[in-house]
Amino acid sequence: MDELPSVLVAILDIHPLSWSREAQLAQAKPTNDNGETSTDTSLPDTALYLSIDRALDQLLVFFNSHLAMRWGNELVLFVAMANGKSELLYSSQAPSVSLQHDLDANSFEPFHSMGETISSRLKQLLVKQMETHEEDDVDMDEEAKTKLDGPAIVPALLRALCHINRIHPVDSQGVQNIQSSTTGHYVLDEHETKARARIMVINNSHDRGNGGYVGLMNAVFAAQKRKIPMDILNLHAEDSIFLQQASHLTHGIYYRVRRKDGLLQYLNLIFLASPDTRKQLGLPSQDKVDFRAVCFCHHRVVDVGFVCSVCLSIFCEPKPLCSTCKSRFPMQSVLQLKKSLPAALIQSITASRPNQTVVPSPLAG
Amino acid sequence: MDSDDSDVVTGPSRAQKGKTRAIVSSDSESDQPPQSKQNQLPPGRAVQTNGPRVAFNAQSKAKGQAIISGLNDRSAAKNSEQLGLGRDGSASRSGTPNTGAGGGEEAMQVDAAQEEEEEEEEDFATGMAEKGGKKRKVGDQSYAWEASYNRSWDAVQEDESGGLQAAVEGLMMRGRRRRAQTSQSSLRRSIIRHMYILLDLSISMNDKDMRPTRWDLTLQYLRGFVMEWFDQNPLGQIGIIGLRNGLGEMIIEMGGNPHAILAAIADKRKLEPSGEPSLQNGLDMARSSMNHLPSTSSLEVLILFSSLTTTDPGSIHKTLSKLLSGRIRVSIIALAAELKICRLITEKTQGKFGVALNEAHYRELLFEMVQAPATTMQGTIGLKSAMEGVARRTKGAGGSSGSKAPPADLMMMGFPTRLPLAGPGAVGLCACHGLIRRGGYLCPRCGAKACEVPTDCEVCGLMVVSSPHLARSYWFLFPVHAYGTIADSDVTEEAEISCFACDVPFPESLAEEQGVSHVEEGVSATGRYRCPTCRMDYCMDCDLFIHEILKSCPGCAGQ
Repeated sequence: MDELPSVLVAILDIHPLSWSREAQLAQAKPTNDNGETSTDTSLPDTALYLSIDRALDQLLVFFNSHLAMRWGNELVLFVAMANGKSELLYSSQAPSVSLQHDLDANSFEPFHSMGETISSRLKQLLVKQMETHEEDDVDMDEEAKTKLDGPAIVPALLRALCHINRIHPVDSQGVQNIQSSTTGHYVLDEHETKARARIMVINNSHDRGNGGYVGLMNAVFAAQKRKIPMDILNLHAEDSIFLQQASHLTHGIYYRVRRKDGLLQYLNLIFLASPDTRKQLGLPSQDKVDFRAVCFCHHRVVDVGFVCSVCLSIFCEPKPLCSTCKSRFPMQSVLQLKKSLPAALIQSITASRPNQTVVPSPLAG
Repeated sequence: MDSDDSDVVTGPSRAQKGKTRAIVSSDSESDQPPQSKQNQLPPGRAVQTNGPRVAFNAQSKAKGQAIISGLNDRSAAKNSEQLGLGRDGSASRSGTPNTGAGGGEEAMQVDAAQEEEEEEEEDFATGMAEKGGKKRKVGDQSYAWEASYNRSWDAVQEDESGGLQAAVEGLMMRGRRRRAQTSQSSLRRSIIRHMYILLDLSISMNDKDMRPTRWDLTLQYLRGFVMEWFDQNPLGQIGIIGLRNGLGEMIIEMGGNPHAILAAIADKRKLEPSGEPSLQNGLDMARSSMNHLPSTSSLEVLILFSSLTTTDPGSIHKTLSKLLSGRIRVSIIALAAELKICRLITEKTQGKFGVALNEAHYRELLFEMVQAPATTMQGTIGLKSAMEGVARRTKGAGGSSGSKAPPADLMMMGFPTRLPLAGPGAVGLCACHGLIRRGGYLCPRCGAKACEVPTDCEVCGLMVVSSPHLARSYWFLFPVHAYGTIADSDVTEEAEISCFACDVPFPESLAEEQGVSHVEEGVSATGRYRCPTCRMDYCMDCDLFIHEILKSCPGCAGQ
């Protein structure tokens, strides 16, 4: 099989809160139980918590192996920071030459420079981020803080897709663009690409699903159209339902790391293989995919929602007026649904209790 | 039918101009059978050219031009001048004689008197048709039955340095401009759509004016259309009815599975065109099949109509009034010409009507149907919508459906959990078939297992849908704002040097400095396009990608 070179676009979550908590927990004694009940307490400390420098070391080995896998493989690294910021950290096509580093006779120069660039730039960003975060802490009110809580994975994803579109376009780009602009539609046939692009998200934060739900879904659909799989490596203790959905819809791999001391092993064994090779490998399949959505009114994660028939906005409770399209709903059906709401909730709770593992309770979200 | 004929000149008094006229008139008549052409030539013209009879063949076209211009310099000059062709008669491509040469042929044909052989005439006819295509391309798009060659190279013009960059960018810009024209106000669109496609399978579908035939082309486009339609309207359903032998023929019942529909139109032998179509039978069939559907969803009929006639058992106006009371929106794409009844039906039912000029235009018209129709303009709730209602009532269109806003309702939906295909808990009885199956979806309310979504839960009746299905439509609830162009003076020192999305640096020089002759409207000279909301700069590629595929602004997502 003639395999194409592959482009790995990695998105690394460097949200300071989640990583600093990891680092603190890694140093602290296990008696300091911070609600981490879902993980196996019999595991050693190092298996549960991972500091960012150790994670970075292992990631760099993984990136090196990716570049070494095949001639023509490329690497692009985005970082998702707090406050909705994202940054292009490294691109193997245009490595920044401005950074001076020592030459090392014992290492392969491209790998060495990549490692140096990534770690030094990351350090800069982390320091800057901590500073701005502290500043923001002072002058931001509580509401704004919670709103921007969480890493900017969605903006980073959108940028990554734009980057792939620009740097690694499909073969018939020129023709395609002409067609698209004259007919107003992109020709979404199966075109062979010069290189296979894939996106990999390394997430270490709790998935609150606020804000970027629509953006994430749009990114997923664009990736679907371009046949770009989204792989998710979740370092956080809880599954992220939206990233899970994203990888399911784009035929990527979702994996939640249970033992973090073996991160490199997971990376190399699960995520290194290119999308073409994956068909031949027995990779971990996703178990349950939760198709819950986020309501538009309170950004709650819901599993039974109330949907406007005109615009399909999702609400967590019956309302007389759609806040998105301003349609008015007949009072009769609103009342009827309101009446059925507590019953529905009670029903779902009782139904989910006996087999908690199978049916997720709506209150858990 | 043809605006070129404004300078109709007949009679011997304006002899020179008459020759030019000959070209034009034969253009416009090239849809006629070639035999009748000579009879239609104005009598004044045959008198003018008295040159020797030149044996005509395809190779001597340029030569013919030379002879004619030698013969009658003034007229030839006038020919080329009037048709806007400054260059000499020898066309750059041998297969495409320019109009000057065509003028020569015409003159010769006239000169060669009435006893020309039929075959030669056909040669001429194709020549004329080419000219028709060429001429009208200059001004407008040509009809497919007038042009036999697709002159794709005419669509692009080289710039001064001979490059195509400007032309390509100009084409890309059309999309931008179209977007700028469409208003940013939120439209109310129907999202749950039910559509019947009425496919004309009458004998007229065998016409070859669209290559390879109308029928082949329609099936080919329809496949792409169905995929795209389900991509954009995942909660919708499509059915297909064929119109042939005066009957409506159910090709596939309405369903939500694109693969089943594609399979139904894959077998061409079952769809052979024959006989006459019947609009009324087809519409009645579609209407009766959609009778039971709820009024919250949008009921649509799309007719791909190739014939110029319809064979109906009764009055189609009765069907029309039934369509109106059923709130069915009928859109028609005619492949041949506009028919009064088609126009009437679409206007009354608030659908779209279009006549396909050529293959590309046909595709464009068809794919316009992918996007859900706007039900009403969204305005302030009270006064404006009331006024709209009044306006529509006075217009009389829509009857009962037009008198009030389309009904909205709140629906309770459940978002299921998908079970894995292997591993613990994968195998279980499904509630819909009562069979032991792998995988499936669990109803969030009662925990019953369904094989496919969207569906109604068999146990508790909850509508179970997958949330990504709903999310497909969110891009037009939260549209990306059109990006504005940035003038050179607006690029300050602090401005980013590279595109926010793809990180490719912006050009340092202006477009004019790079040899682009003129910057078209809507094109940014600096190569920067700025989002009005997040104030980030994007390059043109990303602008297009963000608006056409991604539908989300990366800068705004971070705010």
